[in-house]
Amino acid sequence: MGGEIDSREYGQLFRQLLDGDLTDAEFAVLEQRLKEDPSLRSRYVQFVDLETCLQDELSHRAETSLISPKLKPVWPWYLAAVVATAAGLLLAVNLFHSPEQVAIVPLPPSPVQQVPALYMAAPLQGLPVVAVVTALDGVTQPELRDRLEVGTRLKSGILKLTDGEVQLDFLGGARLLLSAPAELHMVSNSSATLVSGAAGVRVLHAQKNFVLNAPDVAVVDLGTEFAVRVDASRQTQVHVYAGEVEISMLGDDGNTLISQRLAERGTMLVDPQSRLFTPLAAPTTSLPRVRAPDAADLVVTREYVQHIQQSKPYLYWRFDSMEGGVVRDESGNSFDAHVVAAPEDAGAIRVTNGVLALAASAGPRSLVSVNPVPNFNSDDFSIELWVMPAELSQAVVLGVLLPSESPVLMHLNLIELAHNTALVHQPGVIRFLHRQPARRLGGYNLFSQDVCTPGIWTHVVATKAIDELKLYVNGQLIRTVSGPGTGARDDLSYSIMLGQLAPANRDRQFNGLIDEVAIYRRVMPIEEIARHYWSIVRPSMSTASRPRNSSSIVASSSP
Amino acid sequence: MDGGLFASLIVKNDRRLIRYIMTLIPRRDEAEEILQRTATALWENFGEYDTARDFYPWASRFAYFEVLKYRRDHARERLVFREDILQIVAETRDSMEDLLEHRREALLLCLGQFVAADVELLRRRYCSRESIAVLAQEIGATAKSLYRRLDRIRERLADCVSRRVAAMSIEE
Repeated sequence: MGGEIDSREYGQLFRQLLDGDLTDAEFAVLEQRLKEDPSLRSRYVQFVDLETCLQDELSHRAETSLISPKLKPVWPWYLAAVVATAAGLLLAVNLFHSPEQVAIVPLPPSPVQQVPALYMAAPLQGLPVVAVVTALDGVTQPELRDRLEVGTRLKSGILKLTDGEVQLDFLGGARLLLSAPAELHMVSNSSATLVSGAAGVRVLHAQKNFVLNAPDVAVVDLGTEFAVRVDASRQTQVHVYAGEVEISMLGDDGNTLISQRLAERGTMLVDPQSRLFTPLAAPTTSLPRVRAPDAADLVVTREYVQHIQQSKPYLYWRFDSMEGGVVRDESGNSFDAHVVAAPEDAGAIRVTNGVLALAASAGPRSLVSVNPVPNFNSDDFSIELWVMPAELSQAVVLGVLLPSESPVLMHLNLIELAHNTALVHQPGVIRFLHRQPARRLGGYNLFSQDVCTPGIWTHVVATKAIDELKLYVNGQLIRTVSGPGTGARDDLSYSIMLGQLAPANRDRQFNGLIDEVAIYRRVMPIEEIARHYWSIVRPSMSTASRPRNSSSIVASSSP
Repeated sequence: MDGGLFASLIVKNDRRLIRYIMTLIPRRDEAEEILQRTATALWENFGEYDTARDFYPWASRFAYFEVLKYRRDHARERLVFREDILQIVAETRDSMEDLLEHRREALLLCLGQFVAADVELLRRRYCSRESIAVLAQEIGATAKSLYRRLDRIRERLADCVSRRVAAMSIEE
């Protein structure tokens, strides 16, 4: 490394140092040059500083990938430790050494309140994710990094708002809207403590009751929507929008001392000092209500459509329109789909703004291929689609099943949102099932790792070869299962169904949006899958790419 | 001690401190560890902090001493600067703080101008555990061509930062 080194070579040298790739001899020479040459020192400092800034900045930007962003603790652990020390560890005691209905020891005026951070994860290792952010409105975020975003996953910890609103979907099945100024302690996936401020709660698909604690009070949902406000004197006002709740005033042991049931449209003022429940005619203060998740547009580019058509799908549902309850197959193979629903339920399944929108209904509703697809499983295949759930629940996005004249419901494949199932997996993830011969139980399961976030579009591709199954999410290979028989074949005809488990009942109804369903008679390679994914996620904002819900959708007929 | 004030100050300055430490110990994991030790030392000595003065210069001295401690414990490891080099690099950095802050501001502006795909590629390279080979396969490129592309993006970014800093100097 002797002789003159130009600036480009120095840049390379500095990079090798950062990558740990310098030899000892090169490093010794670099040290000597740094000692002798002030201008080189200046360039070195600028180089390393810029690299560090860049890494910091990029690591705090949301992934363009629609996989929900990794949990990003806003507070580093050392700060959390300092704060915990300053607060006499009361936080940890409150959060992690108490039963779910906990008598909250009030925190002293803590340093937490003076910091512009929104969220502090509890400084413990191994805690699971308990909630995911599904909406943000008017929240002042701390500078450029550590921002909460739709899709941010939160472990047990503290969420403090000085302005705006944050909505969380708890993985236990409740949706909570926190309205500033407020402080919420997230205890588990089915319980939280509102230390101050107001929160609205709606239970979506809870397997057990959601418990919202307030100082000295616990509100247990009984299948309901309600709101709670805690004022400065620790009086708590509870209002039930729908259903009913059980309100407990807690003793100093954290257990119910006295309780009261509050019915729909009822309002109760709970005063722990006087131990009085006082019914009110109506809330005396504004109370929040949960809302639908912030929904992102799916930008279907002309390039995307071209890629799909070049990939030659043998079934392609784009949902540009639905006429007479029929969605056209754009592949040219006439595997059109039609709505299967009673008239009163048909409104829960519609094509709007170029996507298939599915809502909950009293009866079954689904979109099913008009004719069974012959030889669906006689060879390799790939299934590709975009999905955006409105909520976290176990819900079938796409099913491949024997036609309805079969005596028993039997699935060959499922692509579903797996949440609170009897199987072992992370909550709120994508499941790909291949079950051959088609039947009601068994088969091979592939699960994704990250939450399929309500309000965010997720790209899913499942591929099946004779001896290998793969699941891709957002252009990345997530899971492979291989071995003899994993992708076993048959020569039967199958129906393709969207939106629920079976045509005849409303089991596992999917609530949300589906778009760009394509099926191929071959295994798509990763390069092709990534090309499809990136051509939607990274569009150059030209006239060729427009939001799907704009008035000028890219026409499938003019790629 | 005022934990709230400390928390506020450390939140505002910890990324600046990690940049300082990275200049001396240019490996991320070690630098983060030193930052954590620095934060502990700062908390232990926070009673001595003069709130009328800027926090960063006071804190960076603690960071420097933690770097020296780290060096003493790891002096035999590869790619660890000698103490005399640490001293002159730290002095150089101290004299450049204003410029470095301008460059950081410029970087944010430049990133905002760059094509989203390029920024995403950088993000994947810096922030994911994927190897270059895996990343290259995903975007249908060879590892070599991906290295070249990343180098070009970084060069353009560095040029953009230099131009913007020059413009800032003119505006001032």
